[in-house]
Amino acid sequence: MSQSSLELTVKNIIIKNTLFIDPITSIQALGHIVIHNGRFERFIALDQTQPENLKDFEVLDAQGTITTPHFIDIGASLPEPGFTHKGTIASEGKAAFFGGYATLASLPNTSPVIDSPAVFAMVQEKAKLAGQVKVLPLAAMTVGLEGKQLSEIFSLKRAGCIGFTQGRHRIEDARMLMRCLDYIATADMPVFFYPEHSQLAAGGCAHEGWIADQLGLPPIPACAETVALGRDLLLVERAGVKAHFCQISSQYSIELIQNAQAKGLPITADASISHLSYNESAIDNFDSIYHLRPPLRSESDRQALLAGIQNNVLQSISTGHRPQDLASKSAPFPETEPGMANYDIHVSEALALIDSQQLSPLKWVQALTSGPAKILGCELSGFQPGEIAALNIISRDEWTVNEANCKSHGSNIPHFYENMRGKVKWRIRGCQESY
Amino acid sequence: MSIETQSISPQLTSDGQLQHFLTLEGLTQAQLTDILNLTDSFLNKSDRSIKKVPLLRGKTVATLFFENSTRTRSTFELAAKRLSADVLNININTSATAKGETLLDTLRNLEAMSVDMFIVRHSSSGAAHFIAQQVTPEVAIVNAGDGQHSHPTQAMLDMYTIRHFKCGVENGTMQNSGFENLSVAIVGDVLHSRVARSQIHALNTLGVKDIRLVGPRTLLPRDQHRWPASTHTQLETGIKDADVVILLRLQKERMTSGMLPNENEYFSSYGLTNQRLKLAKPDAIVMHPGPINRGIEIDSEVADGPQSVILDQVHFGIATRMAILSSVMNNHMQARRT
Repeated sequence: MSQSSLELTVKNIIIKNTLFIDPITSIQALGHIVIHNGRFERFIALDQTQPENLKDFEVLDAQGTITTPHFIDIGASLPEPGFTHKGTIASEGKAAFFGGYATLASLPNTSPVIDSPAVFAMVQEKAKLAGQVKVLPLAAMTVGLEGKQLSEIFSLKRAGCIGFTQGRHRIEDARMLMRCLDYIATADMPVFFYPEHSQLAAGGCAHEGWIADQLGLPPIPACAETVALGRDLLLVERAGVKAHFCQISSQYSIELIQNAQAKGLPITADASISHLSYNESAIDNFDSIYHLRPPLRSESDRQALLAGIQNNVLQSISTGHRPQDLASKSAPFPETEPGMANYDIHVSEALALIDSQQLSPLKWVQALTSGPAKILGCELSGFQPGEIAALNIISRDEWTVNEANCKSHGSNIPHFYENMRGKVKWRIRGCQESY
Repeated sequence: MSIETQSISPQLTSDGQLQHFLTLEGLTQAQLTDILNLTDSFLNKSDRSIKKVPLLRGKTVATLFFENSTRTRSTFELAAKRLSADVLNININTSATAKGETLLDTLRNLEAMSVDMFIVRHSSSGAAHFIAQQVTPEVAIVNAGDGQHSHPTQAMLDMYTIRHFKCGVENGTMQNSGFENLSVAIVGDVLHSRVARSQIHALNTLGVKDIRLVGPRTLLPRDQHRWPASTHTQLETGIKDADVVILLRLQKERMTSGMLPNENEYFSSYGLTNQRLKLAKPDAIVMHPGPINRGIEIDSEVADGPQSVILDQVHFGIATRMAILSSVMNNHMQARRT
């Protein structure tokens, strides 16, 4: 076993006494994981016959931990190129790596915008050089995200692009969107939507409700999401395009998505860990860390999102990772930039939900692995017999959220200087060579 | 339950004293009453003059107005001067902020000039909270209006005005008794009004049980059932038998953003005329934070009539602000000493 601070490169090892969660077989049991010659060999539950003749194996005591496959994130904002004062592909990739991620699909709202094979290749190249996680850039549907001219969809597909999005730059011209979707359907590519109606959300910075009323903050009504979602769903149905809805925030949106899925439309959706963890009351006292887009909504919205994960209306939990520099968050609340840097803290947030029985551990792991893998059409391996091992071992130990323990360059990490419980302790990487 | 987030009001010291004056939310009835009583002590009853006292001698108070204002700024300046403070008026429109300096940098520069107190008005809700969280502990912040959030000194002078005209006097001093039996109607653009928000907090804390918010649905909060107030879309039912009718200023931009058709229609439905005022109690008082729009919120006959106390509000504003500035500075200095 060779060890960097996080990654353990292993050949023959038994990981003992861990809670193993397999998102494919839905195994969720305490036991031992046997890795032989760098490959995941088997999982032996505590109540099964215990292994013999494993003398040459190293033993890793993983008492109290949870073992999962590596995670996949949809919709991260990587600030490079263009906004490197907020973070770089290397810094945020490292934060994702330490947060247990292997793959992330990033947004095209960089400068220049990812709307051509050249910029697409540049971002992939930078991610490869950084060498931490695999970055799958989603490309802009329209040139410069301006909603006026289609990007070169087929060229981008040939360059390896796996999907298209306007990010938060909505196309409000319905005819333009209709044509874009028809064209992207021709290329048989999925579209990723951030449903928020520009005019209904204009000038707003907080969920329309009791807290925004009290604080006098310009509101973003829930209908800014549902009106946009309703239109998008109708046009998606017409085009027959595969669609994923990112960072859903409101109760009624869940109903709309559920109805569309019930009709058999190829629709998936996710909620961010922030929207599952917090509600509108987090912005009391104008705490700009919790200034998010879409805004944190009511407690009943949050409950509906958790139920959406539980009953498979939402197939993925994203981080919504969006690093900001100090100046972007240091202003009166409505003037601050939205977003939260979540990679360093998402496991702690999820464990808090799991420990309070709001989220099932299996659903959580599925929403970070098999769910997004299916949406992105990407590989998920490392945890089934015969595969080169690739695992996260998550400790429940308390840790302090501070500069030393966080990797993101963003200054918008929640709970800074507080103690949280739960972090990826080791990443297991199977290796067949001797070292 | 959502994950707990740390939420600490920056305006109170660890023992609950006001070190800044940002909002009336969360203040106790005793704290509000202390301010009203102190206001009383600054007013000479006989000649309606205001005493000059040395409570802020040697202190520098800066008014930092990022939004235009005539009366609020003037009354703050007068209040600080009557407390013997040195007053610095910073004109933001021609200052470095207009040249692109961030709010934070402007603050740092002013701190370096050893200003003891900032009186801040800003168009963004939460600006005073933000500034209070950013300044060094030596500086006290008084909110002179932030966005649509809060205008606590205006609400306090309104409470003083209500107490002056509507509450009892015992043993020569004003009492709060009587607040609980009052019916107070707040009419107009409640949704976008920082004055209304602060008034509702103050009235509720002082024990007023019948607070009514009156206006069309486009100008009332949506989550109405959670406010400690009833809502009325008809002026006639809203002011019926009220003791106090508070009118709010209507911003012209409401007409261009689809919230109202035009000024005439607003006046015909919600403008306070002598005829409509008859629905309130015969001795009801009419208040307005100013500046008034004659013929839009209020008919001139009412504005200049015997039930209007609009100019009294302005007069009491100076003493109220003296009370607030001196208590905050006093608490602030005590907190720094311990």
